Amino acid sequence: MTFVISDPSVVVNNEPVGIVPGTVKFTEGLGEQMMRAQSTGNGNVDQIFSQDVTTNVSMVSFELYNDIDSIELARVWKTNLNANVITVTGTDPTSGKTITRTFSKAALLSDYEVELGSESTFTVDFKSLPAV
Amino acid sequence: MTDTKQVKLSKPITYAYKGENVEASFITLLPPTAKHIHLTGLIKSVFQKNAVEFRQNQKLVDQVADAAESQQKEGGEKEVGSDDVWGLFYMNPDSIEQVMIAGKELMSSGLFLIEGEVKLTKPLIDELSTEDFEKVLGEFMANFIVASLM
Repeated sequence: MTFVISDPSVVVNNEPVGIVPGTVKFTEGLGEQMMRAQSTGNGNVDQIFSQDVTTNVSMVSFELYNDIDSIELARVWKTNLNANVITVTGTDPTSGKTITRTFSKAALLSDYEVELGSESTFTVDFKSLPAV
Repeated sequence: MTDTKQVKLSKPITYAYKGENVEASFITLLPPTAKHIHLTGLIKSVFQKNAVEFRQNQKLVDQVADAAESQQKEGGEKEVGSDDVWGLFYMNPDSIEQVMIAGKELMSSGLFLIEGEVKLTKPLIDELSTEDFEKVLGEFMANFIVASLM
């Protein structure tokens, strides 16, 4: 039996953060690769493979409820520039296995939007060094 | 009673600092204030209760008391340490969990600074080895709780 992880713990700058369940997303930051074909004549082709290292950037995002603490916290993260570290840890309770990804030098590049409403949440979207 | 105390970790932990994960080798302890009396009071009361209950083990109680007294005097030769304090708590195993839980809460209250700069938080406390947890908490109790009791 396998267990789908839906409620990982999120720690930003050593502090645990309460998030909206099921909203954590991340990319590994392993970058984009490109594959092209070069002709070797008479209908034959060879493969040209390349790695675009400029895309070796991780993304980690999650949603927060719009309470005052969360809004203030997000503001601190934004003003920290790229001096944030995010750790996402998921645990499979059936096997005890854990998965951890750490995102260093993380920054909130976009100007996130805070919507004030009784059922509203807002999304913070960090870009960072590739996950480790 | 000293102003601050540094405790070296036997097993370093990693913590976030200026956007990177770095290793911490010591923790700086700050003295508690009245804000923390609900926790320091609980630990003091357990300590005192144990001291009273186990008067028959006079040697250990006296050892802790003497060490605390000499520490308060300038040039005191002997310092009360983590092992002395835990020794007294271990005499009554029923109270150990209570002390550790109160201690864990104290550790995340802002009085414990990693490398003297970053607040120790619950995820970081969970990273500490059992040995380091007891050593750090024991030194805190020895310096800032038990010392003021004697």
